[in-house]
Amino acid sequence: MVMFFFRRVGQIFVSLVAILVITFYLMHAAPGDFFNIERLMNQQVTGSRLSQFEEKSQTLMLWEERYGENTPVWKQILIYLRHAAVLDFGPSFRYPDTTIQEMMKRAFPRTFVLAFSPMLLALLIGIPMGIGAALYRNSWIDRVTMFVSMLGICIPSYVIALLVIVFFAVTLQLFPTSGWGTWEYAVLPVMAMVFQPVAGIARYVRVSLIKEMGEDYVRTVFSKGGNRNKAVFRHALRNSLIPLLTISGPQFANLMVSTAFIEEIFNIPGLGKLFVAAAGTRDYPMIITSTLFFGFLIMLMNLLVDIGYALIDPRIRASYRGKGG
Amino acid sequence: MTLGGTDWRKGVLLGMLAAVLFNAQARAGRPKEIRYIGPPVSTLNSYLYTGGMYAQITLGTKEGLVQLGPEKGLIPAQCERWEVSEDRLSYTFFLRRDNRWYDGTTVTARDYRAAFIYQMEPGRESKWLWDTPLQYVVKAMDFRNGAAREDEVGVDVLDEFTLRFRLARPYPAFLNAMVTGSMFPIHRGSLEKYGDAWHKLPNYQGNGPYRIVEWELNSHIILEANPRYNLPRGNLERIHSRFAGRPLEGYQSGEIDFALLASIADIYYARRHPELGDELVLTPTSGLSYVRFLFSEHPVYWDARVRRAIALGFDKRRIVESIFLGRETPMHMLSTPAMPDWDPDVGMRFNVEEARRLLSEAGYPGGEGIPESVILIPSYLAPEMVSQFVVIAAMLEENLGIRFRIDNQELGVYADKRVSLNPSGYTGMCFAASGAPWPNPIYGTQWIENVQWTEDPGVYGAWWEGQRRILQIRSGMTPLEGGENLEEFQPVHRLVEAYADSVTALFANGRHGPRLRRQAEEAMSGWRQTADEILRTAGEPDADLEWCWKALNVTLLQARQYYFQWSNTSDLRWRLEEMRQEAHYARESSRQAEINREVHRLVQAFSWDFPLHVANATALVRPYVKGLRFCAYWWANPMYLKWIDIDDDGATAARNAVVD
Repeated sequence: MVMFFFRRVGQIFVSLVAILVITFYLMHAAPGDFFNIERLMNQQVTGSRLSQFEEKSQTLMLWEERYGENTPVWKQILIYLRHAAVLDFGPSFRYPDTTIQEMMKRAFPRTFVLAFSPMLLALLIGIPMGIGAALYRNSWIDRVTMFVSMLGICIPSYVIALLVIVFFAVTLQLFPTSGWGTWEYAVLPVMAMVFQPVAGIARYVRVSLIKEMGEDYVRTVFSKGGNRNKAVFRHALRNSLIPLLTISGPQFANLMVSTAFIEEIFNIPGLGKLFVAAAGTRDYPMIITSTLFFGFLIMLMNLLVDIGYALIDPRIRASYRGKGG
Repeated sequence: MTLGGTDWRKGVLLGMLAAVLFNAQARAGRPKEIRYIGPPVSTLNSYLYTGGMYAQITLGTKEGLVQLGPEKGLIPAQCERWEVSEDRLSYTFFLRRDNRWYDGTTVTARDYRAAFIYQMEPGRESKWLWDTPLQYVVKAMDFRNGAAREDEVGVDVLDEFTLRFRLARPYPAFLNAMVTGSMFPIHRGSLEKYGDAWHKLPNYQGNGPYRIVEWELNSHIILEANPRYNLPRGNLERIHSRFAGRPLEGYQSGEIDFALLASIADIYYARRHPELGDELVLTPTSGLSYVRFLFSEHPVYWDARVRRAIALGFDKRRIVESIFLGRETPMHMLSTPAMPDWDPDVGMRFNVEEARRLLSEAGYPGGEGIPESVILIPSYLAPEMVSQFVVIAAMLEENLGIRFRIDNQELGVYADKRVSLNPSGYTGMCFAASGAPWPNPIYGTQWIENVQWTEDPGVYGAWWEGQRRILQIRSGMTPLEGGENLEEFQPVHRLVEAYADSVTALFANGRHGPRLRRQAEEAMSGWRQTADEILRTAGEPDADLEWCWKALNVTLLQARQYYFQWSNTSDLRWRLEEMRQEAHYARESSRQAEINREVHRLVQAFSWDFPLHVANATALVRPYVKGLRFCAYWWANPMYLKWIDIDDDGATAARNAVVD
């Protein structure tokens, strides 16, 4: 098990380096750069007309100070890795007077709340919905549950976001339309994000529970005189929830990544908003760090899922051992 | 209450009602506050000149010597008066003695000088330095380039409350340009104590009407009235500005007190709304949208007649009326009514016959021979802006027989194509926009750059190649051979001097006046000095020869480019450059405006740009917000919020209406 853990950590490290190399090279190959974009955008603000051959800005000098002037890309990657190892990602081009880690430190809790709350709610709502649908299969409960979950899957979160803004903020004036601060600000964004995971989990639990209910061991419970509640809650449900782990980890990582839309709509100063702005303006340091961060997050969630599997399922633990773990 | 009955539904309804009432109660207890969605403040360092700099001026965290007045013109802010010398090379400001920093210390002339020196320091972030009036101050740019000492810079502290600027040459917009954030003072104590962190909270010290309570990057800023502020102001006690959000929905939900509407759909909705329609306010701005022809190796748009034909070949009025619903006003000259040089009689108006005649004259009758061209637009444009280009393309095809396709590109690609010399298969025009940060008395002369110095694509291509080479050498993409020993430096140094001599000879041929000659001589002297300095540095024992070699070669290439450009410059451009000088030295503002209008007349016939329309700021403002004005010059940002008065009765009535 320990060996398995270390092997996976090693794989994560190699994957991150691969992501880093690809990002660095793609970034250099992409047309357009931060300084041209900045000049054009600010020309629109100030009306100044300039050639593209202006003196170096301090932002560029900071980049060169960190990575060296005319340094080949492979060397820049090594320098980046050296700094990243101590969580020093340097200043962003767009906000030269603050560091990326400082900005991420402030933005991360908001994005975490935005992703974690819908996940928690999805589990609390989706599991009972799935159980209900499975137990009352083909009844109106099942049909309503499946219809609602189909809507949840089909309607994108940004559409739901607009609907909840119009209804709860504009019409009822219960919650603010945008911003971040007290708990009221989180209600509408979480509402917009919760539908999809609820729908996914409900459908997953339903299918999984129906399958488990047809297994021999459930029939054995009934044949031994056990009632339905015992068969469902003590036996079938426990087994049907194990695969739920498979989707919960990536689902959470997916929610972390997809908060970008919601942060933009609700003007929440989270990671997604930072990273989307960075991509649009070719803010290289921020783009690299964000790609790396989300890559790491997804791999970490997968690792946690695998470890969770091993902890709750002895068969899987044994299989890890069989692979040299 | 049982779950099976209807009681739980009543409970939910009661809960929602309670929340609504609680919400309304909370609003009613607010101080005299204004809440709005404003431009993002990405740093509190106003000398960085980011897009959000106007936000800081609006919010009033700091205040400079002068401000824009409610109408056109300037008013004193933290100075009592100013004097301008006869030759307009010296500006003396007499400061108010009662202006205090947040910490109670007095703002003096030394604080202003410290701010100017701080931002001119070599190596300091300089992104927008060229937009400050400081670049016209004696020795300021030399100081920045390391060629002058700090005490040589022409900003003199005559006494604690008297500050004098000495200019190297007259700059008619000097006073107007003083309204920007770069001309705010700096708290010397904070600068000494915290160094570059002087602008971080809680180190930040301001002298304006409001002090910062809370600032969150990408989120919001909250300010409260500064009790130490010395000038009259409205009764506004608190400001809450969010940096993004949904203006119409925020306004309707009662979260914000005024909303700038950018979306045509929002404006349309607000206009037709029975109540919101009365709260709409329209302010003309100087935000000009225009079209710029792309540089391409294809010769077609290098012919001024073809460019002019396209400018005349479609009806802007129809586009503005049908697509923009009054948010924009069609423009026919490259200026706006907010500028002193504005003249409604100057400009090129829709005239299909003339456009067709020009095309025939240029050898393209009915558009024959003109390849399919592009209209390059950035992907961030709003749908209505994209629509107008679809309509323009259709009109041009119908009226002139020229086919255009829309090339909607991601911002980085758009930026690259817009500034590059494109291959001959890619030609056409692109979207462009320009704002003006203050009423500029020499606004027209800014457009001189848009009449290219040559109309010959081959000459331009050769020059462009030189520019590319400079960039490549600077960035290290093209390695330079040689430079290992000092002997190799001498011939390059001599070449720089030779080019400098050639430029002097070029300007001494009697074609142009003494002012242009002086400007060229200044440039020559700069290169000579730089080359001398590099040679001296290279001769030092531990010199970085590689760096010196690169710097010397770049200087040589720049001198060569300058010579190449001016020796190929068209007569028209020479004339325009002379007019620019004349505008700078003209004493009377009426004469300045006259010269500028003449420049416009000349420019419009040969320009690579032609105007589309100017934006009108469209805002919803609550009736209880009095004194709010939108600025024509800052892309419709609100003007100084200190002018605002909140009408208590009106506000209470409005809040009660929300409860009802």
